Amino acid sequence: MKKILTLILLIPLTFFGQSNEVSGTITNEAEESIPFANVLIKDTSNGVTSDFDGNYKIRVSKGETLVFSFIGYHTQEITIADTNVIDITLISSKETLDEVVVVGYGTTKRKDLTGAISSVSSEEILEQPALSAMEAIQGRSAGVQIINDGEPGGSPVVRIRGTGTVQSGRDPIYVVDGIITDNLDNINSADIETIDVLKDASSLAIYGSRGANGVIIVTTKKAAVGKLKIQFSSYTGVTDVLKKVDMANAAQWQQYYFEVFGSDEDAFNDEFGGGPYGDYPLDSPNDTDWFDEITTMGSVINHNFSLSGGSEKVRSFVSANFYQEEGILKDNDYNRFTLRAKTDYEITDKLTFGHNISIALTNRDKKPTGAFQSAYRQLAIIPVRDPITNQYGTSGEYATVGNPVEAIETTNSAIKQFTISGSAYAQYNINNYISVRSNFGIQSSYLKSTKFDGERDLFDPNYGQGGAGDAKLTERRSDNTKWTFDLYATLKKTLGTNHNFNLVVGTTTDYRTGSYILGQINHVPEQEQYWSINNGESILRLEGLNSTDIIVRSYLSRLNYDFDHKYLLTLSGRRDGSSQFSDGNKWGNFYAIGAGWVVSEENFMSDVNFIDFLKFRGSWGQLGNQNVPLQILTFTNGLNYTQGPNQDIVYGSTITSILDPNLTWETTEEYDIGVEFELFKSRLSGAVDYYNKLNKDAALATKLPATFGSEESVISNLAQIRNEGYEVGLNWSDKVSKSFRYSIGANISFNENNLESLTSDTDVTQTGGLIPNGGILTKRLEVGQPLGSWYLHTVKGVDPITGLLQYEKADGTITTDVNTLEDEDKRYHGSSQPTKSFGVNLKLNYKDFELVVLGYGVTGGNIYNAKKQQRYNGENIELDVYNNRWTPTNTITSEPKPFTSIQPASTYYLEKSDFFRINNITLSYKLPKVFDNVNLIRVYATAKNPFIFTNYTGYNPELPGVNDENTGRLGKGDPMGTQGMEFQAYPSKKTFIVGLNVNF
Amino acid sequence: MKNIISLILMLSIVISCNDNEYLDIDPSSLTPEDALNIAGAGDKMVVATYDELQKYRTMALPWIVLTTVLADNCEEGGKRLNTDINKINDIENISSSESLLNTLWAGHFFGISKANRAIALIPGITTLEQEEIDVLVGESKFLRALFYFRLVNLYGGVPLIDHIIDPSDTADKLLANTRVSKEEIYDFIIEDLTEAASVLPLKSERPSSELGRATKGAALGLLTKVNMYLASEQNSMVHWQNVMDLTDEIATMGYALNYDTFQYNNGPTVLSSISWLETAENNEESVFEVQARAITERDAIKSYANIQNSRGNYIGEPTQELYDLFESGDLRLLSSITKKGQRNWDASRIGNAKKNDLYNHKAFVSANTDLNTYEVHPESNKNVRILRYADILLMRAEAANELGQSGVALDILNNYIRDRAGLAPLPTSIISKEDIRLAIWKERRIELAFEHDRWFDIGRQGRKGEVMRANGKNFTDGIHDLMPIPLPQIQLSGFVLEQNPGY
Repeated sequence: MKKILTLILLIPLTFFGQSNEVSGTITNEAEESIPFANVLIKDTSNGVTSDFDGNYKIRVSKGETLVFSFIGYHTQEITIADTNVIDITLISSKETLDEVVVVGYGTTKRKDLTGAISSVSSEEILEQPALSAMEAIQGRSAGVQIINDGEPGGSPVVRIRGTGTVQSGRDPIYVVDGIITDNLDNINSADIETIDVLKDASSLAIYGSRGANGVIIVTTKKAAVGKLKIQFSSYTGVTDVLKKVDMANAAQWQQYYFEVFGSDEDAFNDEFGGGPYGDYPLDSPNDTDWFDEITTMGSVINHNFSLSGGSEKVRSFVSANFYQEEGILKDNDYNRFTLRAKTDYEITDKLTFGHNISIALTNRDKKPTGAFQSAYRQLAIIPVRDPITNQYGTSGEYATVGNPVEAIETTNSAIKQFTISGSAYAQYNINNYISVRSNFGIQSSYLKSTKFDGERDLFDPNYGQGGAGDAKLTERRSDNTKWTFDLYATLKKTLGTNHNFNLVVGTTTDYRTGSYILGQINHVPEQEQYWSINNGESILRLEGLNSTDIIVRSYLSRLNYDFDHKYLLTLSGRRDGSSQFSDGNKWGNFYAIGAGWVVSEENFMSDVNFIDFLKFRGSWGQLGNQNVPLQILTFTNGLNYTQGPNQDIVYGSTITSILDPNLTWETTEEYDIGVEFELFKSRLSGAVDYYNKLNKDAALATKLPATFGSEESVISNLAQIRNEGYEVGLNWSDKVSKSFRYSIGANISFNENNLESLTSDTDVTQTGGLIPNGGILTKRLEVGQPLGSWYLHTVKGVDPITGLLQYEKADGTITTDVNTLEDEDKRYHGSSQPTKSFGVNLKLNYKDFELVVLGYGVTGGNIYNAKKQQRYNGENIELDVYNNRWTPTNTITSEPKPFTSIQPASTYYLEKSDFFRINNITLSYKLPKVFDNVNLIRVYATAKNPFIFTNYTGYNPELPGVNDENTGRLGKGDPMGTQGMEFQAYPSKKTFIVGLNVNF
Repeated sequence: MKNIISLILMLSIVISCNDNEYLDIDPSSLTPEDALNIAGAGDKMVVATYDELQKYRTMALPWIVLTTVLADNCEEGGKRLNTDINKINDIENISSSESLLNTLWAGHFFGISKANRAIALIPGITTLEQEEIDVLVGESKFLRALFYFRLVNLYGGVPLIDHIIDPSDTADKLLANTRVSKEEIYDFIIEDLTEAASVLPLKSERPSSELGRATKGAALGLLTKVNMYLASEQNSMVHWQNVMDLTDEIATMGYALNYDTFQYNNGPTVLSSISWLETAENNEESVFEVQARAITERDAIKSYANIQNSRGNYIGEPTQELYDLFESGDLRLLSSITKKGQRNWDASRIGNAKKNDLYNHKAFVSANTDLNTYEVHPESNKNVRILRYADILLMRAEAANELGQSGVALDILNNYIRDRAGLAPLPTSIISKEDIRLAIWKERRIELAFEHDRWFDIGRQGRKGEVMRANGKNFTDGIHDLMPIPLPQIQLSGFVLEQNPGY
């Protein structure tokens, strides 16, 4: 149709003389042809579009200017001289204002937005090789904090504009092609076209009670009309520890403890007793480096294949991916297969239909990360295996540490997950301005986790004393299914000449359910092929549950209005009903308003040449978080007893909790003021935002006196939590010459997190940051402090005379006697949440070479070196602790006199989390075109995380926290949990990769 | 276009009409209403109350430290210094913020709450016969009385909760945070035990499948102890007479001292009942014991044995003074205490490197599979003896002595307690009431060592201060007789809950 039009338009041209025919091919930077690009003669309406292969032909007179343009690319102008062939390479531009941004139930152009949305392109995601796209985009957009987890298959913790709540869900939601999911771990990064991060109320209100933690919209790739494209990419690399902690060797360890117990060997032996474990006397020749014993060189492999193409009627995209990672902890592996098939049909002019199916299969061989902690604490004098008995060496009476090699070798944990997601949509364009779209998606995942614990001595390597036991098999199977159904209508109309309206009205329904079954049995043979429940005897645990279904029904609408793309207004609202809450608390309404003023469109700005685009915008709105614990009073099972001559189990259950009948979702109010600009011929672009987000009724557990008999805390909406901050993102890109281009981007986010107030007359003191074995608490929730604040004794150096740590009491006096310390002497010392995070990216293109450098850093957070505190008897110490320890001749130092026994939680263990890391250095080269059918061959080498700059003394300053599988405690991403505590964290790693891309 | 919009509106209306119904989801776990209609719901609530006795918080470390370690039979001992236990052992440094105090307090009130729930809801279960209801309620009352008896002797008067309370109800809130007098608690305990005794079956009437559940004998046995405490404290002959009457009744129920001994390889000979052997559980001497079998990690008395014995953490080191108190030839010595370098009853030797000199042998659990009734497990199968017939006999002896029937008292001491221990009768010089009383108190101390009796025993005898000071502790009368009310509970009450004097 369009072709016919241009043909008609072209006819008059032939009547003009002096015109000659110019032809050429339009390609992108990857030398792929661009079909349907526009070629226009400047200041006329005459033009053509390129064909399937990017070829165009146009009659044009000498001296006229041709304008080449296509959505998503910088426009180029060429003045016609004598040449008849003009090949054009269009340069893509992510900041191009005509760029389409996905806003949830629709799209809009970036220039018309009133909200704060960061977008990350496919290209940027793929620059950083990683399992999950979220890991890859760390440091890419302001306001999006990503804490990576180094464990193979570990999912990063993502926070948008700070942590908004304590006990409810803190994670953003992910909307992948319209289907809400919990993370991107099972999505092939190469399938992703764009990631749009919705940050402010104006953008998020359309997600209502789902929006408070932010929404990350993922759009997967879609085939374009054109000839078949085949893309193959592959990389492989090796991984090593980025940062190691040096420990004392056997001789240094002995010297240290000689100094604890008096300086002679007898005193030392008296204390440790030699004992029944005295197999390793002090003159043992062992000098084990435990960290080396449990770690190895890791590796990563990724192969990706995709095929896309189609006609105007049917377009299809298919991809397959294999990713494999071997961790630096021995036998700690992960692999993932994914498949995706996506097809769009244009059935008639008005009706389009599409479906999208993806499958992911993951295998994860887990090893106890607690081994890092035991390796840190285990003594060099203990051998991995006793040379005579070949039994695992144990620390005996010297210390309370397991053998980390034993922990790794006897714990076998495998998690297999199968996820299938499918969605289908149909869109009917009723006329030019109204369309109706319906989207239905299902996602189901099945997880099987098998854990085999070999037979153990009395001394358990993971849990210390008391963990002895027979060989034990634990198998857990779970499934989760959800579906989403959307139906919405879009009305797009321009009234008069300049009043542009875009109205969306719709409804969506979301359903989720799940179940699990768990069995644990003793006496299963050691050989892996026998690891089935049937091969064991005496069941230890058998449990299972079908979780209570959750249904959310919502009505949504959004009106975008603009006058001449100059004055912008967005109104949005959503009404949500959730089955999770009690009657009377089920329904909630969420509204937002956003407005913008595109100053650069004003006439008075037409003379200001250096400003290409300038927009001020502001928004206010309410968002919800429905992810609060389910409120149904149930019988607690498992309160069993034994009776009868054989002491058989009898089953008991009763009610052990009290619920707050008024609990409902949390409501967050947020306002945002921002400015967006493009300056100097769009070479400099950027955005600055100020936001202020107040969660008005964060759910928080309150404790009741024990006399009420409620064993669990009662959760009520009580806390007010504010996140306030600035975001600045800047990008400079320039083309110096035809063969040299570069761009530099930087962004920085400032966030202040604060617990504003608590509305409760009962006690809501929340402590956290528990260090087990010793029951030490390091965190406390307090009004006026950020969430997860460290609540510690303050250490004021080491007393030069006694060599003891000097603690500051509440009255300001100094004491070295830990027995005089009271809880009241503790003070707040910030939290692990950084107050600033920043990212930089640099890209240089010279001819066919490209260099990319990405950096990321945070400042303003404090982290707790918890592993250092885990010392009860004669555990090993860091080499620095040893070297700098107080001695009668080394009195001015920060490390106290050698000590044993556990110390109170204090700032002695607190360190700054500040770091700056080069996340990526990639050098790539595009081979000249050697084969006819091959459009691109690109080879590259990447150094991932090659350098880190930090004063932190531990393994890794990036500490998302750990979910404790033994206790079921969810510490990951929990400000009151193990977030920010290096306890059994995975050390940071560096990876060196070589890769290849081939496009046909 | 109009058509389309109205179509969408209609669709929305159709969907929204049944929205509220649509959002009504049946929970997949039992709600209280449904749970009560399921067969066995009554029994389950009572079992859940018994389960409290198996909890760490109620029966393991906190209870061990606040009874055994605190009293004069033991010092703290243990593999490594624990400052919390150290403070409690020293008495003078005990503070209300001590977490063990809070844990213990909470466990007991959770138990009371479970009992209250059973007592309130079981009578409404229509599928149960009245007789079944009576027994289940009787058991719950017995357990409630047991929890309160332990609380009142440790803390003095505590909040008296006799029904399911609601935090949003002002009266209940006040009830939850207000301590009543010790006397009111005692009256309540007596009422509960009397009612329990009137409905509970005899041990002999219980089917064997219910072995271990509370019986009429258990209720009367505990009531005997309650009466003895009141008799001692108030010097009340009425209560001593009650002890006589109650023990008369218990004597008809088939209980007897068990004389079995056990010897293995070159290990010591022990009295099975005194050494709390697994093979001697629920025997004719057993009046009430907490059943334990470590077949699931959740239900065992978490680490009760492991905390105290020489294979575990050996917290609570028997004092030399206690060791020396045993007469020579007393079979109870090696049944109760072992020494560093000596053998346990399973012939295993206690290594010389261990820190304690003396070890609680009653808590010993063998690693030798053949010597245990059930599988060896880090969490022991060992039942915790709450009330043995020996205790009943000693209470009777004391009552008889106080009522001037010294012959009865001496008969029990010489022909039962000492006889079983392999000891000769007491010297005939012991004939005065005072001398016999002291002899009984000594036998109680030895016979019931580490059975969580001592701290309360010296309390009701009115000589806590005297005994503890002789033990080298800086005990202040009027303060340390009672433990401080846990500070966290006072904070949770909004400082309504009152603290004991001196803390």
